[in-house]
Amino acid sequence: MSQFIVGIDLGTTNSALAWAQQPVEEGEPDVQIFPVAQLVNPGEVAPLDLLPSSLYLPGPGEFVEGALTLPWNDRPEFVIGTLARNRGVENASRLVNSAKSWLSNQNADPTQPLLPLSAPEGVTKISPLEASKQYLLQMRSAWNASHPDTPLENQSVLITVPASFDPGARELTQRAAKLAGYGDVIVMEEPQAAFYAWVERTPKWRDQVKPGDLILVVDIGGGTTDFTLIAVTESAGELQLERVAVGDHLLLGGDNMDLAVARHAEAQFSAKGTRLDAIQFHSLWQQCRAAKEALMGSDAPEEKPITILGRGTGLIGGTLRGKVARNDIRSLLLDGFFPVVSSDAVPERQRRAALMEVGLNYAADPAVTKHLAQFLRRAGPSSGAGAFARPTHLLLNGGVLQASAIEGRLFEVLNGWLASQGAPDAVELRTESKSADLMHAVARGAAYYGLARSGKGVRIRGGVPRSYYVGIESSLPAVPGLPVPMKALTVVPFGLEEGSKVELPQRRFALVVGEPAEFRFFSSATRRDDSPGSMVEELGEDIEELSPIEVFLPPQTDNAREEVVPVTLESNVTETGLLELWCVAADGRRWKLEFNVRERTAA
Amino acid sequence: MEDLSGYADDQIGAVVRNVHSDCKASLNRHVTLAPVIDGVEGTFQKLDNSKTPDPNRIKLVGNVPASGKVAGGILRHRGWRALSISLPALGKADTSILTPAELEVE
Repeated sequence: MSQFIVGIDLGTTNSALAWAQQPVEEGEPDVQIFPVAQLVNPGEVAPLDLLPSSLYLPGPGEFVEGALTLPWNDRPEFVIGTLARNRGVENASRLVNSAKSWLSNQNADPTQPLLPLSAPEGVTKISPLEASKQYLLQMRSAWNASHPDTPLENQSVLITVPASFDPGARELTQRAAKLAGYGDVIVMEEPQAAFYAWVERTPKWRDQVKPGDLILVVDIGGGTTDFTLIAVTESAGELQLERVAVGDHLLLGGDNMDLAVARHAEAQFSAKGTRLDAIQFHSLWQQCRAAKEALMGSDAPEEKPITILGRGTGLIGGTLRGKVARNDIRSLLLDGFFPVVSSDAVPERQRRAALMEVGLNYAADPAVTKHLAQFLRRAGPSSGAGAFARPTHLLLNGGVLQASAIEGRLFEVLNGWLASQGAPDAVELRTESKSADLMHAVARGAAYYGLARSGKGVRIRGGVPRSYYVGIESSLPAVPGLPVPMKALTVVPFGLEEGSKVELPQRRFALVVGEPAEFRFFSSATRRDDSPGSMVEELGEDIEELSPIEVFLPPQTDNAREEVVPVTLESNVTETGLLELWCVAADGRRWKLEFNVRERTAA
Repeated sequence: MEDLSGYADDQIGAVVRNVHSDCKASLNRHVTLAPVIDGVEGTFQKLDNSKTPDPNRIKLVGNVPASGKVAGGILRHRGWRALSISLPALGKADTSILTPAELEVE
């Protein structure tokens, strides 16, 4: 058993590391945040509770010799963390950020050097995978510098990912950890970590839920929004938890809201004919973030002043003044991101220019409540009219949801839907300690879950949050000009649990040795009853295509005549939470199907 | 340190006038300041584009090319450098005390 259990929140905008010691002595486990040493200014290293997920590619001669020295590396190739984020404001073309959003992207290969997108000619770009590796490496190096006898690679490490991450993105996260010198890491879902964080800070949590309850976790991070439903059940007198549904991958988060406030505030300067440059706008953005927190909270003042200091030596002469009003911000954020909508609301699919950045699939509709309505409809007890999941409890996570006005609006909307279904109001999962630290909750919860895995505490059962299929061409006569109709073979049933496997002996595939074989790969969050080996005859709206998966059988020299190998498929979920698909030959030889992260070509 | 969030900008502004002039006077007493580039902020400043500028003296911001070599840019901040520094002798003072507490005897 390792001495420490470590939870890592590898976030879109910020990362954090929490740890707990094991074995746990008497009482509740003590989970602590590890401040990560990082450059905060040239030549200044400081440990901070958050590591900004920002990477800066320093140019030739850009920093004074020795200014980037870290305690464990005299000449780091990249700048990671606070200095990277701050210097990136001054020279955005060398800044890599939001790398995580690229890991789950069907339109670009995250192992290719893509970032920074707008780097000028001559700058060596890096891949989103490499950036993720660098954030993990920074945390490992900082940990090892202060724990020389218990290096991180020998500890039990859990890394959180959005519940909506596809299998390929989960595998990439694990690959990034391996590249950063970690041992085997466990991948866990962020909303579950948020739930464990609540358990961790609420010693009497069992008093608040009972069998039959349904807990809705809404986790709004900097760049993503995640919905998860956890059912409370009972077995042999013990409370059990089961994760029953997970929402779609939504690239929409607190950063979008801060940006909306900043654009709103910018208008008053442009009305006066003042154009803000990139650095001034960043200052405005930061102040709007703080103003938003104050104005959306309880006892909010009517307005907050905004001051943008002059950039030159004439500090006061060049200063711009403005303000943001409480009512404006409230209607902007509540009506823009959390509008009151009916339970049959559908998110718009039309892309909006304001939320777009080349390459990333930002959510087309910023209305979180519409996405939530769609999620609850899909997660309903059965398909058909009137099906709607009815949560009894709501757990909120993410810095945005510290604002009481947003929290209040979410309850108002959700309880409105429940009332129209004749269901009682959902209640908030309360916590006794008011110091609910939502910035670090995911990392803390991951560490706590690590303890639960080793036997201490309750564990959420869940398995894979989707069912998966491989495409099979129908044996219908081909019609010129029309694609061959596809059917889908269920290879992974919904909810397949960690450490279990499914064999599919009924269906044989012939693989040609020495040639890559590609399977089209599909998934569904709503088809929960397809059993392994069953065939979906018609691919409807409820099944979406992922990047293809492929396998390559290397030619064998000792048996050159073998050309075609009949195989069957097998799927399993590893103990570390990864989905794997295998081709198995009759003689027991096995080949793993790789998730292809290449750009998906339009069918 | 005092929490300023409850005060209006003009209250703070009136104080800044005093604070700024006091700070300026004490700095001037001990440090002779001069700009790094003695130019007019907001105007174009030429640089030698055969080499990257000395990072001690000049920080490039904005659309910096990959080579880091530029023929110039708009001067946004002139920078500061100390031409001379003369700090007072400390004597036997406790250097950990920044300002002593004050007690008025009635």
